Order: sequence, then C-alpha cells, then structure tokens
Amino acid sequence: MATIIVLDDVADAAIMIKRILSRQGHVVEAFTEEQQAIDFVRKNTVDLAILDMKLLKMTGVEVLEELKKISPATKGIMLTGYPTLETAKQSLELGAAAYCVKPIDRDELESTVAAVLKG
Amino acid sequence: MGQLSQTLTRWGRALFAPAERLRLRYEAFKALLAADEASLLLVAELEEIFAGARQVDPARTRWLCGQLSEAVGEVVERLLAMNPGGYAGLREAFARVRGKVLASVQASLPLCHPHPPHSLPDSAGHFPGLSPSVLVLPLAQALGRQDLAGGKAANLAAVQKAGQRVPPGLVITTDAFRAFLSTGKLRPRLERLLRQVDLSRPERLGPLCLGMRALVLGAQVPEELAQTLRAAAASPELGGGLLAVRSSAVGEDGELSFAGQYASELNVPPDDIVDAYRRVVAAKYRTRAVTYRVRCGLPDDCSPMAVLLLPMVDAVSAGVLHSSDTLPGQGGKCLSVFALPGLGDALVSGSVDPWVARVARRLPMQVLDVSGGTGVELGQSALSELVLTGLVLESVFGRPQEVEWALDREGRLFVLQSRTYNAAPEAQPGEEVVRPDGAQDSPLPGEPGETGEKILAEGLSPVAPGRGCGPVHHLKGAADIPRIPAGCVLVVDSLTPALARCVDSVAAVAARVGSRASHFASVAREAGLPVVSGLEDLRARLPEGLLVTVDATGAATGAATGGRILVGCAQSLLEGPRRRQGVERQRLAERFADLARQTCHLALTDPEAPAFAPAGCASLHDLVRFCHEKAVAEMVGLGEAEDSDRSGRGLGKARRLRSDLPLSLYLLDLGGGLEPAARSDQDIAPEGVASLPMQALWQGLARSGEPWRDTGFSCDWQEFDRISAGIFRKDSRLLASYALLSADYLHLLVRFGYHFAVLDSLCGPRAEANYVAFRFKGGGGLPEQRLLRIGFITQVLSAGGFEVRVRGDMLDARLSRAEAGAVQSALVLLGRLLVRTQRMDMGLADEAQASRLAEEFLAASKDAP
Repeated sequence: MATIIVLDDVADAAIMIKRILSRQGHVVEAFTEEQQAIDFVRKNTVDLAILDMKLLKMTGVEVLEELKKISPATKGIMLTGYPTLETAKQSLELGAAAYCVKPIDRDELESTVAAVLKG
Repeated sequence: MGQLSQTLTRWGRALFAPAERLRLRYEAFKALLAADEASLLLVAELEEIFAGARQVDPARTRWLCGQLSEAVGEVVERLLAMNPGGYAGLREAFARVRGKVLASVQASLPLCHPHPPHSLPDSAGHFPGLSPSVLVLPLAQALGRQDLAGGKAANLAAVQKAGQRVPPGLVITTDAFRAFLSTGKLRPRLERLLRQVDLSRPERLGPLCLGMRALVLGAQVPEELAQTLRAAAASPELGGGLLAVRSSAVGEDGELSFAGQYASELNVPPDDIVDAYRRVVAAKYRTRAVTYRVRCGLPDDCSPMAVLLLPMVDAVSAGVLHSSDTLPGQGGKCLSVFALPGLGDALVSGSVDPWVARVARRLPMQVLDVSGGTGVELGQSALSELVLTGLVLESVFGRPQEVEWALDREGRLFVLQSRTYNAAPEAQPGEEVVRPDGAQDSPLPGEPGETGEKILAEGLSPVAPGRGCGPVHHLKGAADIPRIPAGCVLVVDSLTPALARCVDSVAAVAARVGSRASHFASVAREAGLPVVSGLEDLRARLPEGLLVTVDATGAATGAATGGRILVGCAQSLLEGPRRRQGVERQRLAERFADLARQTCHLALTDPEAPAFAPAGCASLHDLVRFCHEKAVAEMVGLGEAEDSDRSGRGLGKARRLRSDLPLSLYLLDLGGGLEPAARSDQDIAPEGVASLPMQALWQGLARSGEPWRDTGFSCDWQEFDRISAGIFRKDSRLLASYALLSADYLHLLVRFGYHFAVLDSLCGPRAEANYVAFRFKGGGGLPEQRLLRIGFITQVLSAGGFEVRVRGDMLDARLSRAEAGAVQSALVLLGRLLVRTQRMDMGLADEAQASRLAEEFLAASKDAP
C-alpha cells in the first residue's frame, strides 16, 4: 500500500478523495494549503501526490515542480475541473503521471491511482 | 350539419313567409348552429392537442385558436341577432375571453420574428425599427450568438475559443434566412402548409413536407443574398476549394440535438453555393425534421436556419467521439472514439460498423478496448489528442459531448461539431463523485429489479438506454415507415435517420447494425426510446408478432450483459415508456394550462346557476355553451325574461310530451310533426307525434324495454339533485330537453345530468337525403370514466352502422344516405342508448367492462321490439 497526499483548495473534495483511497488501504493525507503539503513531502516518503490545478496561492503544476525537486520518485496525478491544452501539456512535460478531469467518480479515481502506482 | 341548414331553410320558408322578423330569427339560429358545430370541432381538436393525444405543428395550434375565436364570435353575434338588445355583457365577455386567449397564444406559442413585441410588419413584411440585418458572419463572431448563427455554428465558435482546431468558417445568418423567406410570400405559403401538419395523419405528412420543400427550392434567392453567398463561397478565408455546407438552425445542437434531421452538403463547388444553400434550407422541411420539431413543440419560425460554410477537410479518417461513455461489458467510464476511413459520413447515417476504441478518460492515453471495422489507423498521438479534445470540450460545455472530428493528411485534428451527448452514464445512487466545486450528489431513484424472463439475445450494444416492450414488427423498407404500428418493437437492418418519425410511437428498436454514434441514436436517446444493435440474425431470432422486451439499460443495471432482448413483457419493464409519457403529458399540461383554461375548459355546466351568464364565461367553450343553450331557448319562446313581447317572439308554442318517463321533453312543431288532432293540445301524448324520426326515437326511449328504473332516474331524487347539481329537474321547463319536429325531420337537444346530446335527423322517402347526426359530450364522472362511456357508445354505434369520430370527450356519429327503415332502426338504437348512458360513466371501471357492456347491449338489440 502506498502513502498518498491530496491537495485541493476545496476541503470537501480533498476529504472525499482521502476517504475513497483510505478504504483501499492507502495512507492518505489531505491538504488545502500548498506549503503544508510541500513540508509534508519534505519530511515523509510519499509515493503519490494528487494535485488540483487551481490552488490558493500556486498552480498545481508549480506544486508538482516543487515536489519533483524535493522527491523525484513521488508520482503526480493532476486533477482539474478546467482542462486546457496548455495545462495538460505542461503537466505531462513536468512528469505528471496522469492528467484527469473532474467530475471524476470512484471507479475512475481508483483505476487511475492503481495504474499510476503500478507503472 | 350542412344538410340541417338546407332542411331548415325549407321549413323556414314554409313557416315564416308572412313574418319576416321570425324568418330572420330562424336564419340566425341556423347560422348559430353551424358556427356552434364549427366551434365544438375546434375545441375538440385543441383538447386533444393540449392532452398530448395529437401532435400538430405549433402553427396549427395558433391557427386553431384564431379560428375558434372567430367561430365563437360568430356564435355570439348570431345569438344577439336572434334577440337584438338582449344578453347584456355578452359581447364584452367575448372580448375579454378572446383577449386572454390571444395573450396565452403569444405566451405559449411565441412568434419568433426578431422584432419588438406588439409591432406589426408593414405591407412588405418588414418590421419597423429593426436593426439592419447581418447576412454573413465570421465563425469566431458566432460565439454566444445562437439567435443569429444557429446552434451548430455557435457551438463550433466555442470549440474554437477553447483552443481546439476548427476549419475556418463563415456563417450565413438567420437574418439571411428570414430575408429569403420574406421574398415571394414564402413565409405565408409555408404557414398554410405547416398548419396542416398533424403527426397523427402520417399519410398526409409526406406530401405536405414535399410541398414545403418544393416552395423553398422553387423560390428566388434575393439578389443581395445571392451576391453575399457567392462572395462568401469564393472568399480567400475559405480557400477557394470545395465546401461543406451545413445546417445550423436555432435550437440545433442545444437542449435538443436535431441530430441528422437537417441536411449537410459535402464537396460543394463554390459556384454551386446558391443552389446548395437553397437545398440545405429546404431540408428544414424534410419529413423527419418537421416531425422532430413538432414533437419538441418548437414553432417553425423559432428555429430559423443559419448555414455554416466550411472548407472540406482532406480527411484520412473521421468520426465521432463521446467524451463520457460506459465501458461495454465491464461498466465504468471511458471515452469512446468511433472512426471510419475518409470523410466518415457513413458513420452518422448509421449504415456501417465503425472502428471503435474505448480509452481511459485521462492522459497519458490508455486504450482499454478496440473493436470493429478495418481500414482505420489512428496513431497514439491522434488518439491522445482526441482524448484531450473530449475532456476539454466536456468541461467547456459543462456536459458530456458528442464531437464530430476529422484527421487530415498532415495529421491535424479538426473538430467539425460538438453537441451534448445524452447517453452519458449518470451517477448511481450513493456514488462518490469528486466535483470541481466539491458538491455532494443527491441519490437517484433506483432501477426496477431483474425479471427472470427468458433471454432471446444478450450482449447487444445498448445504443439508447431504456426498456420497452411490445410485439415484434419487421420494417420492410423505407416506404413502410408511415405504417409502423404503434407500440411495437421495431426490427430494422440499420439505424437510418428516417426512423426519427416513429420515435414516439414505437416501444423500442432493435437493429442489426448501427452505433451509438449514429444520428438516430441521438434522437432516440433524447426521446427516451430504447435502442439496441449488433445482432446478425436478428430477424430470425425475433419472429414477427412475438411479444418481447428490449432492455437497453446495459451497465445501468450493474450487470455486464450489455443490451438484451427477453421473451414477454414483465410489469417492471413497462415502467420506462409509461414514465416517458407521463413526463411528456406533464410538460404539455404546464405549457398549455392557461390556453386550455381559456379555450376548451367548460365551467358552465349548470344552466340554472347564477354563473350561467356572460360574466360567468371563462372560456370560449363556456361562451359556445351559453349561446347554444340560450339560442334553443329563444327558438322555443323561452328567451330572456325581460322581454315583454314574449308571445310574439317565439316560434310557436312548445308543447310538453306527456309520458310516464322521468323526462321533460318539449316539442316544437315546424309543420307536420304532430297529428292534426293533437295540434291544439297543451300536453301531447306520444301517439300525437307524427314525425317519423321522433316516433322511431321514442320507440327506443320508451318502448324498447330499456329499463329507466334501473339507471338512477327512479332513485332518490334528492340524492340525484345533489349529484347532478340541479341541472335535471322533473318539471323545470328551462332545463328540459327540446325537440324541433316536422313530418320527416327531428332536431333534439337532450340533457341528462351533466352531459348533453344533440341529435339531428332527416328520415324521408329519399334515401340519398336521409341522415342521422349525433353528438355526445360531457358527463359527471371522472375524465377516465367519461372516456370509457365514450368508448361504450363508439362500440355500439359503430356496430350500428354509424361512422364515429371521437375527439377528447366529444363523440360525433353519422349515418348517411340510408333508407328510411335503416334510419328508423338507427334512431331506435340511439333512443335506447340515451336511456342506457344517462349516468353510466359513474359506474364504469375499465375498458374491459365498457366493452363487455357494449356487447351485451348489442346482443339485447336483437331482442328489442
């Protein structure tokens, strides 16, 4: 089982993702503040970060860039309600393992996480 | 009742030659009866439309309301002519109701000319104060301008704005369309045909639509518009090569898809643009497009046709994608890509099986499943781009999308069209969904349970979700479409868009081939019609006439079976179509609530109530009822009480028919209707009646053994008065029934409780002039019970040789050109029927009971004296 962080400026969304993935046996930490999430990765070994694109102070892509510097092995899934060609391209170039779109249901989320952790 | 007019003219001359004033009154009465007849026919048709029993073009509904106002105005004027100076407030009441009807017509059936409300077009059809029209618009400017550019172009502009590649485009606007239609009186000519469009008369639909297309194709495109078209087609923006000329009607690809209902022309040389434009506009009046629009209740002038000009994409492959789909056989969501080599136009016509890829709804692209056709090669990068395109467009439009795309020789992906995809999987009850705003889902109602029926076929492709049950009908060919029986499970080879005509009448469709990407699939999904496809030996497995259930719910049941077909018709499987009809009825009822109240609703049921007055008339139907009642009273000398010269105004003295029956019937002799010896009597014994038709009717009413005692008239009169609100009184002359008679003629207005019947008959030596006309309306029971009674009467009279038409709860029966003996038999039957049906509606429970009673009644006819 993996250690996962979730970062979303909407607390409800972060908590729902945490609830879904915890049931699968993962250890999940949910954050709404970018810096807290980054600090957590600095201090812990994190397998996967699920990042919303639109955050309070930074973009999800910027956070991904930071995380990759601290912990290159941490994988990233970008989750956005407002997909664009640019953010999709940027995310993949920066090494995001997946770029997904909200609304996303449990099945889709679980299968994406499984695929990313496996690959 | 044209023959009635002739008859009355005959009697009128004989009776009133010395008295011009009386003759004029009689003329007015005749005209009133004719207008009354016309009004009630119009009311009946409107009732059917408002109840959803008949689907007509909104132009017809509008026209019917106008015709009804006119006919009722005529009824009102004729009554006033019978009693000049009488009925204070009647004209005002009519003006008040007509004003409300006009306002409701405007509200529920809006005219969609782009002009300020209340302004009228000048003689040339132009509206004052209108901004100068825009004939052509670059695609980018179509953004948010559905009114001017139509749905398809407005959507494509939004696609472009979202950063997707679309071909450069020009829009020939709805202003251009209106300019075209305003030349050569094209609009009023189309309206004349549109108002005859009635989907319940499919045999007339084809010729009407052909006529409308011929009008458009034969019309001159105004020179200014023709020049604009030629300049646009040759503009450097479009590259000067071959063009795609695509319909972009207002309303198309919006809430309603109109998928495949209109036309697009491909590979059009720029020189041919004017003719191509005319052809695309004419396709607005294809049978299937008109049917679709009428089903949606959309007026023709509210869906003006803009036309989109795009350069042809030199495509190596093309197709459709669904941004959010159900993964067949496994459940779960995916994005589906359907592709064909070349232009891909065969895909949406439903005639071939495409190459299909199911991919995960994320990047990097991951293929989950591939199936179907050959000759298509989509590389990883093209598929990746398609996935992202689907996800972006779903987000832009806020709903799952159906996207038409093309890939050119240089590997560039073009989006040609994007519209809402109606079959996208919905969240299940209690399902967890992470939304952009973090909102929680509310639980959805559960699906009906499994049935355990025998399965004929499974693993079919669920093209449009839902369940439907009915007998199998094999489509023989396109010509068979107007004759498809209602309620059947239609079995077809392919999902051609022409099937759109029958989406409301059939229970389900099973096709040999045809994909969810076909146009017909879109239309079916909108209509809630279940459709499955993908069974080679369909016709062999589903024999004609076998009762089957098509279950196209697929993954929605949680089972990994896809679509299936089962033997028989389980109760739980019938809920789908029923719910569908309920929703449709509800929608109509809401839309036409005001209009129905002001036109058709009959509130004046009690002639003795204080509200039975002009001021109490709330609908056009009330006015007709009031005027008919008063006109008959005028004829028998019972006009308004304030008239001082009563004896001089009446047509003669109405005499009461003396009998033991609980029936107040007054007779007015037009000449030869009574025996000479009886003519001076105050009360006439039945033996004193000389009128042949009246004698026959009396035979049925009083001497056929039809029991009055058992039908409520011998019951507690106080109780009956309570039930019938006092309409029927044993001795009230005002509320009695009346008969106008002559030797061979009878006009009878008969009232029992809440319902009334009008009977009109000529029964003489000339068979070709003889007829019986019978009208029956109303009742005190529940609407369903009234309809059951109408069903009973229909069955009896049809068996008795009448032609019967039913509209709403009004029945018209007619027997024409019969020998006197046959007319007499018919009248005996009607007499018995009147006795039997007095209050029958209150005791009817279901169709089977009504039908059984009718059979018993008919069997008893043979024994009746």
